[in-house]
Amino acid sequence: MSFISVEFIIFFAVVLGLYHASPHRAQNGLLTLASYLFYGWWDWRFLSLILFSSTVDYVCGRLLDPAGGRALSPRARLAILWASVGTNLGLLATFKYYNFFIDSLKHLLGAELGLPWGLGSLEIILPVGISFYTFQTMSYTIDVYRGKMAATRRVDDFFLFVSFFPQLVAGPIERASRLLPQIEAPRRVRSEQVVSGAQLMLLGFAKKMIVADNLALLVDSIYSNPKADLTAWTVTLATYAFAFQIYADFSGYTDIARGAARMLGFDLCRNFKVPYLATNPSDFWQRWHISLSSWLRDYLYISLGGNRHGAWRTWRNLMLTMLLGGLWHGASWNFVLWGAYHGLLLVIFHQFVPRRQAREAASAVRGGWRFWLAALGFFQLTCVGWFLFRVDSLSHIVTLGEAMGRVEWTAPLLSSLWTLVVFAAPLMALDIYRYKRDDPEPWRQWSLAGQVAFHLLLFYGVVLYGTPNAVSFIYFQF
Amino acid sequence: MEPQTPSASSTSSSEPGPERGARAWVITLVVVAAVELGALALPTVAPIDLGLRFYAAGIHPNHTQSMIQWQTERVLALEEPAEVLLVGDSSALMGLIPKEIEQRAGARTENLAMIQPLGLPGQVDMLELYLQHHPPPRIAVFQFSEPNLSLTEADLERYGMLDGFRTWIGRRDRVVDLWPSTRLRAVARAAIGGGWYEASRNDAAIREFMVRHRGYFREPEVAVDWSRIKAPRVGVTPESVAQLTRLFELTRRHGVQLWLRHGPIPEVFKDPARDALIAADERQVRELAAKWPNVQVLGPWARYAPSEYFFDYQHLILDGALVNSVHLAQRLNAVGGAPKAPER
Repeated sequence: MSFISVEFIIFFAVVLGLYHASPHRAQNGLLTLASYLFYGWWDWRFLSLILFSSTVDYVCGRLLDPAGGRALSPRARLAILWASVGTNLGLLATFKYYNFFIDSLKHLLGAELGLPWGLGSLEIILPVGISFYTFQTMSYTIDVYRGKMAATRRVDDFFLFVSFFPQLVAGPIERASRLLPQIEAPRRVRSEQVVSGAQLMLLGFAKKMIVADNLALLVDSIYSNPKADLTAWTVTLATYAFAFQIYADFSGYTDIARGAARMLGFDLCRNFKVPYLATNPSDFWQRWHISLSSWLRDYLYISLGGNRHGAWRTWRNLMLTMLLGGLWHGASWNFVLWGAYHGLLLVIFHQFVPRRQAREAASAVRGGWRFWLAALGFFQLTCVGWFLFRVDSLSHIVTLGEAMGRVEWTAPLLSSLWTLVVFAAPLMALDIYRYKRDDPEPWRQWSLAGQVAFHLLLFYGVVLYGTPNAVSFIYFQF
Repeated sequence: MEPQTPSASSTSSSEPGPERGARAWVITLVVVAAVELGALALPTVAPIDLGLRFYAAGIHPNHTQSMIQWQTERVLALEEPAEVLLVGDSSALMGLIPKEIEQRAGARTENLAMIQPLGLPGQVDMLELYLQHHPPPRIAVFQFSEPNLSLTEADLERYGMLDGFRTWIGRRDRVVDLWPSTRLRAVARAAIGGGWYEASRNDAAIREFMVRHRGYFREPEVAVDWSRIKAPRVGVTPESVAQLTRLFELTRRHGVQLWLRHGPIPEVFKDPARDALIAADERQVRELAAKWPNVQVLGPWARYAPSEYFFDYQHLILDGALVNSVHLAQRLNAVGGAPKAPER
């Protein structure tokens, strides 16, 4: 079930009503059932994957927990951990990456080297949100293994932790240490949470339906239209438009997820902190898709040794982490390239900017022309990354790269530019305002008239400027 | 990499003005209710603002979007009404040449066929749109191919064009469009520059060609690798039955004689098993059409033509389109030469 559907509005209204009329344990049962209905709406067969992954990780967590009274040898504990991690990575490998690697090998061995190749592709479709819930549930067993948290005893609570519908298909990727305690303890939902949660949801709908979906038309008309007039201007404009499209799309989803969760008494983590005001690559990854970047840092980068073994090892770890981060987004070489590009930016940044200076820069008061210039400059580098992210294949990079050599002004560039400004400027203006106020939801402080105007602006923006065609969230495919 | 650990909640613990927030929601709901009640007074079907394109301003439309745009605009801007109207899917768009038919049958002919992504609903919408703005023709020829009849609602949703088209021409039937204020959408979009438009090169070329050829669109002549072209599925879906019924009723209401005609099929797809399935389709459509005296199903239904006339399964290249048009003109002549325009 997509957030952008009438079914979801009805579903959420019913769940919210029943939820607030139920005691704590019944609330958890209701949310688990609702979450399975929400997910099964796409394809009920994929529920078996969530059930399987949840069962394996629940059992592994219980076995790993020293509080359970079992005295396991370190080898046995490691084997259990790998059973959990292997199961989740196995699901990902089968459903997300198998065809990618098989097709790549087939191309390499068959087409390039002329060697025989017997393995064929599988006729499978990618289950929605698999990358998100596998990473979430893996973090649980790793944390229990590391002794950072105790395993949960209640199987129903654990199943809800894996499947909690607001953040099931596109995050934020919640840590068990944050979400499980909220599930286990009775919740008291304050009216303020309902009010501000609804505001956040409305903002999310507006970001998605007004900004992202309108810019999608512009972006797709260049990136998905082989007969478009491709020139340096059109490709550049479409890439800028994509930068704002993906931000509005993904942060819009997160706002709806966080708003819905808040109305149910949960507090989900922030996934974005005005990312296009980042001034360097390190800063960017503390602002963009925070729940994934912190996951990669804690479970991959640090496990590889982090920055503890000299410059070369640090650079290697950064590159590996970002390459795998790129591959997490999709089974395609352009995502690998995107990851490599960001890895390279981080390596260069660490090479030329000493740690102390970077820390000082990050903690310094951010303002003044130097800051704005740095933010604008780094935004250009971010957009180069988005170009690699948006293309369909490596050959598409070549096609668009050739177009970059044609500096020719062709219609409808002026109206394209206007479209970009009309839809992207309000988004950036809101971000700059939030940044200046140092408040992620400043409208909560506004006067009564201000809040009503804000609601009406967003609501009628959706009704009048939302695109008539429903466009799927970009991150659903990951 | 130095990503940050997820921060603590952004929810302020001090609960700034929760009552104010709740009051703001109540007032918002009251204002929305008042606006929507007021918007009920607006006309349900707004006239198409031709300054506002089917596609968003500022984009480089693809071929399909351009065809929808200019075919619709052409139909609305017609100065001389047609005596013979060609409607249907892209097998008609690329397979029937109005000027050729007019020359041979002596009747003013226009092609307003649409493309498959709009399906039968969009194609019938086009005929309805024509009839809303022009006097009815004597004969409407509805040409189609199997893919058009076998489309489901899910297929059309996947193409993602019908909703946008219907919103544009003011024929909305989605639940979300039940908000009366959506009737102001065209005005609101025009206010931010939705009508400000520069045509891209391809878009302008498509417009020029379609205007010059009265709605016919020419497929390029390329060497076709038939091994890569799959025969489409066969079968008349319940959705198509409903739309055919709508088409029959629409033409009856306007006193239009309707000819249903299956487009030619490349010989390379001749296959007894498939022919049996196509024959079953024919039976079903004939049974349905038998209830409407104004509807005639032209035979033979499955007409095979040399494969070199085709661009793919259902699209003819120029030579094929010429032969197909001549064939139709002969049928028109056989029923009494140039049909006379109906009395107004």
